[in-house]
Amino acid sequence: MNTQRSLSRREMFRMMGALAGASFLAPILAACGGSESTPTTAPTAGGQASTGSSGGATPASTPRAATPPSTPTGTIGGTLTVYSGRSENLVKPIIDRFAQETGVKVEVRYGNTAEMAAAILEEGDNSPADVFFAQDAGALGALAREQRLASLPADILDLVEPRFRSRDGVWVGVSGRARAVVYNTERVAESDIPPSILDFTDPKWKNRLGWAPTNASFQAAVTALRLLRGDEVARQWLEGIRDNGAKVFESNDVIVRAVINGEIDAGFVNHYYLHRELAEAGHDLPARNYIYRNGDPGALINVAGAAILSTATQQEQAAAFVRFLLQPEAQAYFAQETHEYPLIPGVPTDPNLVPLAEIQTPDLDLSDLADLDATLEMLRDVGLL
Amino acid sequence: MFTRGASMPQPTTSTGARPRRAAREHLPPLLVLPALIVALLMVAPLGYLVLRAAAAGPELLPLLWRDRTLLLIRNSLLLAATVTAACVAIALPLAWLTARTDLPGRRLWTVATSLPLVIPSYVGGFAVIATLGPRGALQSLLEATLGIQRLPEIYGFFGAWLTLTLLSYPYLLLALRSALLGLDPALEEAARSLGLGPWGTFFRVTVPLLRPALLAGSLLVALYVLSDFGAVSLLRYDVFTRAIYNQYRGAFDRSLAAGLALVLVAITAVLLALDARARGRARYYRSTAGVTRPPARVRLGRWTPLALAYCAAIVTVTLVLPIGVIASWLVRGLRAGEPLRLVWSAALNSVGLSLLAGLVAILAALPIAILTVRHPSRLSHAIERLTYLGYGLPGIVVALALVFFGARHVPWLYQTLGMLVVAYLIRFLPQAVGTLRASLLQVSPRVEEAARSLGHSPPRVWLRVTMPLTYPGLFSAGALTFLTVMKELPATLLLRPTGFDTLATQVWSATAEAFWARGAAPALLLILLSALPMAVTAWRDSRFEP
Amino acid sequence: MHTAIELNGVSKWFPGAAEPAVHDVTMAIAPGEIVALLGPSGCGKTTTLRLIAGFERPDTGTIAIAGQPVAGGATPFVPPERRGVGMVFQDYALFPHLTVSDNIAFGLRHLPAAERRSRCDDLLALTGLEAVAHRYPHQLSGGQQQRVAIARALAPRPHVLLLDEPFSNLDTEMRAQMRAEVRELLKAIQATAILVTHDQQEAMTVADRVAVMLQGRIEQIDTPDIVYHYPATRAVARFVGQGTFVPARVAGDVALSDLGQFGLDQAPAPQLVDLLVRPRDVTLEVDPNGVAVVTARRFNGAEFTYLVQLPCGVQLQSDQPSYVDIAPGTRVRVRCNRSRLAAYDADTRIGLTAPR
Repeated sequence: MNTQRSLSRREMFRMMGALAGASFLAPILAACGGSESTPTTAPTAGGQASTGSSGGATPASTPRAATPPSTPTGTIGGTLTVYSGRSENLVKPIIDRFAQETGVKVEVRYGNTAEMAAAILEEGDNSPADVFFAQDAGALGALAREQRLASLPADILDLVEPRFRSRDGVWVGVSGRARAVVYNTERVAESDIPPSILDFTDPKWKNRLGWAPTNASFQAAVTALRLLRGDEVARQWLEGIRDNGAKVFESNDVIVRAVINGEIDAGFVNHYYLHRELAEAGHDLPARNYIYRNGDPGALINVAGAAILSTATQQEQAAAFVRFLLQPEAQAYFAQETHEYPLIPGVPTDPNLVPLAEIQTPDLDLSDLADLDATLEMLRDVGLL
Repeated sequence: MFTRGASMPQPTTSTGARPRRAAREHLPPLLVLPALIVALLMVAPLGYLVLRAAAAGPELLPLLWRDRTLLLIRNSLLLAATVTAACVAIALPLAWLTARTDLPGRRLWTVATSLPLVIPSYVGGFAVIATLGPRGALQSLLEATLGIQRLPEIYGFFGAWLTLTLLSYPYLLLALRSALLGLDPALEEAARSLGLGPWGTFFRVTVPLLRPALLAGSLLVALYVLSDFGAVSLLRYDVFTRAIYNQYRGAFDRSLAAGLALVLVAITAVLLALDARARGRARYYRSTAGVTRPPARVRLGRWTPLALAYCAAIVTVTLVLPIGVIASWLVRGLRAGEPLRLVWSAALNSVGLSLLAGLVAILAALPIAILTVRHPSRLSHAIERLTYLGYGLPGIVVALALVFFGARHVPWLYQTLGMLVVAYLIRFLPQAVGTLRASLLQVSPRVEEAARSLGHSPPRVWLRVTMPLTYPGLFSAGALTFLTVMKELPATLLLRPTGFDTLATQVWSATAEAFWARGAAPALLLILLSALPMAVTAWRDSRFEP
Repeated sequence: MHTAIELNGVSKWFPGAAEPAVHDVTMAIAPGEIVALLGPSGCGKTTTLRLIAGFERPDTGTIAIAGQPVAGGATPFVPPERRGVGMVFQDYALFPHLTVSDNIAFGLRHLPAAERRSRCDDLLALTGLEAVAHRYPHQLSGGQQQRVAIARALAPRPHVLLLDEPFSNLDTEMRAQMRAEVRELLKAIQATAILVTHDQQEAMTVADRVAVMLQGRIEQIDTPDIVYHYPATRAVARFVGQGTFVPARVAGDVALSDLGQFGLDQAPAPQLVDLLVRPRDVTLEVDPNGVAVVTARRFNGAEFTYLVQLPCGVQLQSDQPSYVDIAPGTRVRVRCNRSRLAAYDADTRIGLTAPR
């Protein structure tokens, strides 16, 4: 058991990937009539199947299984510069795996997604970045608007449902986050949650709510609301929540903690912050997520995504990298680590999560969410920015 | 420090004695050239902002010309003014107690009260929230004992004011302490002999004599408040830095951000002008630089317990509490099975980089300090004022300015340690210049002239006479830069060489993902390592006291 | 034989000042000579010294040291470290971080170590500082500090030694002693020196020649006794020492005053002149028929200072040995005991007079 303790993260995700491959992946991908990438995982899955189901926990077996020499991408070599708005804690293990498999030397700069997007814009044509791995679609959209992104190969785009990628084919989602209403279970029953997020303007929620108007995910959600129901409804909703005395927070995690410690009763957040708190402090915490599944504007799913810069000097390596992020191994890893939704089918997720397939997202192109100008103007007008 | 021992009447005023030597004097090119280069660096952010704002054209004006901008101006000024006032209120008694009374353990208090400077505002902000916030430590205590359910709102103006006051008062304390130690006691004795009581003397003689130090310290505090992002964002008070960050983070609107930053530059310029005016009028108040006789220590007598309680309260709130909060996160994390993560390479990177920045800051600040003290002229004062420009700007603006110029014009320097050090210079140089100036003022120019008349060229005079005499000042300037660079985040994140981790970036990457426990260990190490040179400075300075 | 120092029409303006700090100063100092620049504070004497040392640049005029031009004119400005001047500052400006011998050896870096040590030892002996050679400046008395300052300035064997109010930080007794010592020392090594002081007694004691400086100009430069007894202008007369201007009516080549008749060596003269009478230039004799009356008497420690009312209305000051004891109210006869007195018209000395 003491070996169990020292299981590294890397080994864990290899196991996850292997399991995924073994149980679901091959047949589904095959059924999709997928591209060249299909055989990528097939041998892995096959090799893993025998040991995976029963003795998958033995660390000794995993490295062998997870490093098949037959990766179709093969050894590419060269160097790749990735600007990552996602944190090192999260991304490093998967990047190391990529480097190991492809022989590409990866230089990663970590930072705040929006600040990095601003930096890429300021760098101009001399930007050293090849790939931008962003926390949210908004930052990718900002780069897309200034024609700083290259078109992605079709085989990469095809891995992901159209609702989770750029219409112009310049960025692709890597993992998904559902908008959620996090609520304090001691003060709110699940049945108290109104059928639409629009109904939170009801006076009975007066002084009980929290939100983060400066947060990119929130702004994307408002943009979605505008696009779905029109500016007037969106404005009324913002004013209604504001007049209901909603507390302004800087970020989602602070909202979740405010709900946990009872400062507020409910807040508008992304789903995974709560799961992280639960993992860190235990399931006794008096807070749960409510996720809309009915196509309500509240049922938005936004993505973290990746794109290749138009000025990238290492296009081949960059494409291989983005492709790698959408392999079962990486997808399983993200699901495990971040409690986010994997965006390719068949990867196992946290059982507490509402399955992605059950969430009917509103009819919306996430690419449109990148256009924040009108939303920001509205937020400023309402006095929230 | 030697100057105090030798019985040398010093020139009575720096500005009073100097101008007559400034007459059409040829400014030494050996000083002017490096000073101009440094000044040029200082203008880089301004150039970037103007370019960015100009790119948006006249459409920017209606976006800036709004009630909200007025609100931001009001809030920013209100915060800067109230924090500065509160810092004076805290620092003046502390400076007096540790410098002029028989307070027991005053050397320890001197060190402890200077240390809050090492706590990053993003850590201090968390500590204030954890203590005073809803369901924070104080609330829990009051609820358990008195049944109080809700505390007054910590978020907004009050929390930001409190946090920034607690973190930045040492800037004033340091300035006031050294000024108090340098005062000629004869002036206060004269006031007493003229019938003023101890309080009257303090307020009518001592405080006016401290005016230059008060102004210098206040300027540092006010500009620190204007440029800080950590505290105002955590405590949600709407000021310029927050608005600027929000433009970058939420709106990707670099032009509007630049427009807002230019308004902030204008505010900084106004503050600088006010300070220059006040300084100009205060010139005759400057005390003699060295004292021939140590001032008598005031016996606190039965006031001792009260004085001790005051010092203890300040240290508890500003030092023990934040460190305690972080330590409690660490303990909580360790209990939850989180491994103790200390990446020593990051610690090494932090220390090495900060040492480098400290050294470069001394080298860059020296020509400017020497020029303003020994060769005052319009040019030298303009250069000195320019250094404050970057200090009053939020870090992200300075960082993006260097991204812009770096990637486009000096790609070989971009994302190197050199670039990073330049960013630190732009952000923090006034701290070093101010410290060196104060220290140079302690050295009589006659001593330098004596060395020259003995056949030594100006650089040799500096090396053999001035530097040995200003060594404590050089060290303080380096230590101050060291600790600010240790905790600096925005520029470090954007400009560091790829893969170069520091303690600050580690704290950031942990807390950005809301892994509090994981960020605790590097945060504690960061505070500890920054504190060392600071403690040495404070301890050593207090050793030279009578 | 060239001069040690030569100033030619040197002027210096400071910004914002209406008048130049140093105004058209011309003077030449011979090798081995000690000259005192005497004047009230703010008269420009220290600036003149700093111009010579190279800490200031002249706006007009030229300066030469040991025959070499160092400032002004076509010559490039020679910085202080290359002028070969030794300077003793008012506050001594000793290096607080160096010992006495290190201070003295500071200007000797061009010498080999052995020679440096022997030169330093010589100066320590010359100034009587052997016992404190390894002390730091703050451990010395004022007189010792001053000796260190002089030894340090002399060590590199400068062409000229500049002393800026060097005795002002000493107490009275020490001051008198140091004046004598310093003069003796400078004469012993035949140093050329310029001493800046506001104290006329100091100037007279130490210097071979005294230059009186008022409002940026050198009003008079001459030997101490000439400057004292025959000041060139009333202003100099007022600044240098005590004295009384006694009016005299001119008739032909004779000046008639309450002190008697004086022959003028220079005619023609205005109708009225003033004669400068120093306190020791007159003796008092008790004489019931005397025209003057003693109005007050003050004991100054060694002598009596009498105030004597003259018929012309002037109160004459007269110092008399303490055995001359005259009570106030007594009528006296005033007798001039000098062979010549200076006579002044509105402002300047017009000549000398001799009693008849």
